[in-house]
Amino acid sequence: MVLGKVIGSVVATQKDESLVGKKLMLVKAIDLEGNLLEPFVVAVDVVGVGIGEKVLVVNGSSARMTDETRERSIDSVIVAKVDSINIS
Amino acid sequence: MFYGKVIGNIVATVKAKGLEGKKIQVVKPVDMTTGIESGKFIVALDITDSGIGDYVGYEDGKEAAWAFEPEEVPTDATIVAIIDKVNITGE
Repeated sequence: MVLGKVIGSVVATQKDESLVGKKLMLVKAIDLEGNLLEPFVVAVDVVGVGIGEKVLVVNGSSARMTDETRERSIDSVIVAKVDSINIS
Repeated sequence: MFYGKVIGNIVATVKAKGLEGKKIQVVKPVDMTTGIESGKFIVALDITDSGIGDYVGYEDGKEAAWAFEPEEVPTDATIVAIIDKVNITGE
């Protein structure tokens, strides 16, 4: 999974039918200190996150392993809102 | 399977159903031949009881989710082994 930060949202009225009703968020990867890195994705939010929040993103076919994304054309999903990161 | 070292963990109370009750670890990829730790890290679920400092084997992609079959778990990285020893022979 990728540790990321929600930096925005994406609105698309014309889209694949399987994406209708899905919340599209713009997520940038971050390092362990929270600094933004280059990679970003448009991920479907199945958890209910807001802009600025730290999240975990799953990519690839595993992204379809939730009730909200099964058998839909989705390859990136926000699966968790991060409370804390413990590194030692 | 990839080789790495557990350097920490993540707490997330609000998450997809499939992640309920699963440990979320922070893993640094490690070069198995040199032992050198990568500057990068990934976040992985864990079916072992590995802890910080353990060397582990992890799967990525769809296989990471199959580690939980038949349960449907949205993960693209899962620790599936704690590695005790690495023996490399030959040149």
